[in-house]
Amino acid sequence: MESQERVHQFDRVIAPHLSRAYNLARLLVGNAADAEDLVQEASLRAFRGLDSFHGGDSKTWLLVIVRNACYTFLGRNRRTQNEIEFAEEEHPQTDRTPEVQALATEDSAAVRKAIEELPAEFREAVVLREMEELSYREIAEITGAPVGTVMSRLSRARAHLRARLQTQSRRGARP
Amino acid sequence: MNCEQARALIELYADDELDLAQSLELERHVETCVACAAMLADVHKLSRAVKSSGVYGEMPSALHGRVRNAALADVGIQQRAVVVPAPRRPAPVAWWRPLGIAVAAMLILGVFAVRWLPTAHRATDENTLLAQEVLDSHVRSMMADHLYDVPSTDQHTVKPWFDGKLDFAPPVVDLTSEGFELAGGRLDYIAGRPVAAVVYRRRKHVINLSMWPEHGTEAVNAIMRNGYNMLYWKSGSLEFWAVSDLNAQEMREFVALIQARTNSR
Repeated sequence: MESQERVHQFDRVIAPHLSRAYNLARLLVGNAADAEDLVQEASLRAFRGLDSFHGGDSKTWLLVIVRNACYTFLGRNRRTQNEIEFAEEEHPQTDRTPEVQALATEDSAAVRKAIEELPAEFREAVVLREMEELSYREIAEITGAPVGTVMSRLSRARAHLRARLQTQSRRGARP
Repeated sequence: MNCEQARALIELYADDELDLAQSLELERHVETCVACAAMLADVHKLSRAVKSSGVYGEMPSALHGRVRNAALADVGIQQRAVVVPAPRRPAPVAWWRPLGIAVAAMLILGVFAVRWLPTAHRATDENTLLAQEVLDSHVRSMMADHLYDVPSTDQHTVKPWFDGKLDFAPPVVDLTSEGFELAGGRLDYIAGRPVAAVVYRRRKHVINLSMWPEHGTEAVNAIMRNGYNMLYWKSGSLEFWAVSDLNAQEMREFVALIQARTNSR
């Protein structure tokens, strides 16, 4: 029957990924209320378009739709300034001296703040890799970027986090 | 491998993106190079810091129900209530524990009812609760990606697997030639006791067949709940529950096959 198929499809294809969809949305748009609305809107769109989903990875499929909704929302609501600043900031590989300095990684609030400071494309790369433990190929699929770009975003994002957390460690205080 | 080559690969190694040969080469280098080893440790440390920073939060508990109802309303299905609870991370047992106790209580009452009342039919309420429990178990098995403890299409693998795990021997029959492919077996906990669940597939549909010891014989009853077809019956001192989103006609066909095979054993 059509209706029972639909119920089952929701529970099987969409429901298992709602929590990660919500977290990705919250980290992309920066607040919980908008994230909830976006997840609902995107899930509904996904549900309507279920016919276009033929097997494959439902997680990737849903995250693509949620992510697109987030970027549309961001584009409507504000032009991200920090992306330009980030692009001009220096992140040469030579930053990574072999003498590794202590990272202020015990300070969870500082780590969260450093992640939130990253431009969206870099933030999502870090989150999809570290929290979802997705492969570069899966991240590329979700973000619509080539694997090489994912690799360099991830690397630059880490360099940025490292720099932030080291600075704080040296100064002993947050900027 | 020198340091320059190693450094280009350290993050890829930490992210599990290198092939075996490259991984081994890098590991060999890191064993002898303190500086590169420190850089690798640094990547791991940063990774742990991100994971434990709490950057991921708890999904608001109402969101699942809200999204589900909106989606189903969109296709014209009105839900009486949210019937499938969202998998809540902090207290996964909390929601069904009262239900379990209630079902246990109803079962005790049910046993008395069967013993003392002239009618052989159990209280409707009890069957309703049992149906909910069987259904929850079915949905959980799909959501949590825990369809089977023993995935196998061979009945001679699935059947012995249950040995020693249950106080009865569940019948496991192969219906592949009839179009119901055996997919595996699983232990469930329903109505306060461990039960056997045998998993079958029909095209893309999953059928969970749960069974446990029960006295008496009862013809097949069918109910539909939340879009799932549930058929249950008693025979050969076992109670059977078959649950699936498969259509009613094919479910009856499935049950008829199971009955024919389990009765002729």
